[in-house]
Amino acid sequence: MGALRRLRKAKYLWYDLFAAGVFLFLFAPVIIIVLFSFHESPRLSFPISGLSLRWYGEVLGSAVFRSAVKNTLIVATATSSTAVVLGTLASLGMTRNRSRLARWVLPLLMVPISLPALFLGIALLSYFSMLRFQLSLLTVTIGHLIYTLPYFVLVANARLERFDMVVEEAARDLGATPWQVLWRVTLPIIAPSIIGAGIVVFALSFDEFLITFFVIGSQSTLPMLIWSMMRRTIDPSINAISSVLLLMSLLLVIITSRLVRVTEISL
Amino acid sequence: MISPIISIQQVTRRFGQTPAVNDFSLDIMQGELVALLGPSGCGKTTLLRIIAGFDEPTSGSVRIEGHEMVGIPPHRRPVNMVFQKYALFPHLDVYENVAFGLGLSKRPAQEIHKRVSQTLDLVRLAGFEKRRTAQLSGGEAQRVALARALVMEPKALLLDEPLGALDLKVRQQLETELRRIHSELGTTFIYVTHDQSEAMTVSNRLVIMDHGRLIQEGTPQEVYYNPNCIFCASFVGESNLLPARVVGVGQEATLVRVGERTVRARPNPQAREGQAVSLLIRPEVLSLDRQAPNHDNILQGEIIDVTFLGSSIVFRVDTGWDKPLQVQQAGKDDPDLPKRGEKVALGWSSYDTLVLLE
Repeated sequence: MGALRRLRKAKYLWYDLFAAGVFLFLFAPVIIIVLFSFHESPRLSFPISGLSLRWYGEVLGSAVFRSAVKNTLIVATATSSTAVVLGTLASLGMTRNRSRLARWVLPLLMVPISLPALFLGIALLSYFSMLRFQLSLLTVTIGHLIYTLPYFVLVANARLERFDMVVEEAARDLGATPWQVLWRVTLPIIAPSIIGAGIVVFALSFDEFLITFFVIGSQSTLPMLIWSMMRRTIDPSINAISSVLLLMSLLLVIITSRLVRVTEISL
Repeated sequence: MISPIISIQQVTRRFGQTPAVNDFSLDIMQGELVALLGPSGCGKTTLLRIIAGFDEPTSGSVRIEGHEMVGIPPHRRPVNMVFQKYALFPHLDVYENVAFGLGLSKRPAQEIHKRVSQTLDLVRLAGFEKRRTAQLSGGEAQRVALARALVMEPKALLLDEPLGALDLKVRQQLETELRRIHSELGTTFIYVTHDQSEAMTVSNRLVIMDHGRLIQEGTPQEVYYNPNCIFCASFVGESNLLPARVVGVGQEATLVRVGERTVRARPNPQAREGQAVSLLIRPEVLSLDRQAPNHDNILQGEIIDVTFLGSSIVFRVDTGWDKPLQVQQAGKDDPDLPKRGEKVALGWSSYDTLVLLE
């Protein structure tokens, strides 16, 4: 009995070690970057000789960095808010209209995520230049929208597929016009999922690089900035920028998971 | 003559070729509690949805207080509905759910508050105002749904299998509650159900539907004691139905032949000699005894099964006919009750024996 238990314990220890190894493999690079972002010297090797916020100071003081953050936030906000409006409408339509034509909408909407982003970037660039469309943050936003809308629709559809339509009938029965049903019943009920999906879009747009690279023109976003800095030298302030990006992504993940829990309760 | 509050005239609703509701006409008076009763797929829910405005008839007319309702959307009809699965608004609390309709109609806040409180009192949910809908039991949720509809003071309350999702105890409780609320308010109720005992308990008028048609309507007593067809007889209550042939038509009784026996039945002026008919004997009118009882119909048989149901006991007795007869007696704690395999005599009166022509 005791021997068997010990054997089992040993077996589980082996599992635990394996799991720990996998996590170490996944997170070691992240940890190293965060670690070196606090390193006093510009040397990117061990041993750590001292801690400082020097690189953060340098990054925050740089006008290029601040403009890249601003551009990134503008694009991510514009992309996610447009995706929320378009995606919610698309999803409402798709889950209600059962016609033969409607069944084609979802597969067509999914095309952008099945294409390589590289291809999408090149295609958009030639498309914009064909139309003589000035490359700017607007073209970046359009590119991001095409790429993120499928993700939004997938999340929104999952919620709307299990939406109880009888609730809408109850509202109609109590005197609500179709418009009032949408604003007072349907949208408030699905709001947490919609906002959650919007945050996913925000996060995708926030660190999108490939499409941005082709359609941005002369301006810069955070991923573009990091890439251009990497091209020149390995500047230690990259570690600080990356850590800032990581922190922002983490915050988004936490907010999203909170909202998803809320949706489950209000089921 | 008083005009009906709801008048359904020759309503037909087709889905493709098959009619879900077929040439259905019914007048409902102010204050009635009408149960639409029928098996699933008989068109009763479709009919209710046509009255509410969620469905439109292919042809025919629905009038509420004389106003034609066909073509008018549900939010502009003066009726309200209680759904089987409650359909409460999950993002609102109990008070907000009940106040939803009044809020839309832009009533003053004071009036809304007063009416919501009164209605919550009526359904015995005072104190539940701030509860989330997810925290309610099935019975409580359905009371909220009831309050939410009643607070609108509808011309008629439409109930679509309102107790269908609840367990027996809660269902029986709510049946009584519904009758109390109905008699307190005097609102017209139209109640859809496939459960005949529920329909009989709750309603003061039964409307039996099958294949989209109205088969029979009347008080529960009328329908139970004078069913006009085999379907109604077998759908409402328990019944012994036997194939028979009319052998004599008289003032005092109709004589029918079942198997090798002649049975005296209640006079039926429409019965013709030689006609194939069905004989209806309710299980509770049969008396079962060891000696031959004093009745105008007597039959010998052997008990093949005894089922104890608490308040009643059901015997199945083989009398040599195609089907054994079901006999229901009041249950009592009696060690001397006839047992399986015993020979007994069955007796019943001709008045309790109905000849059904179709």
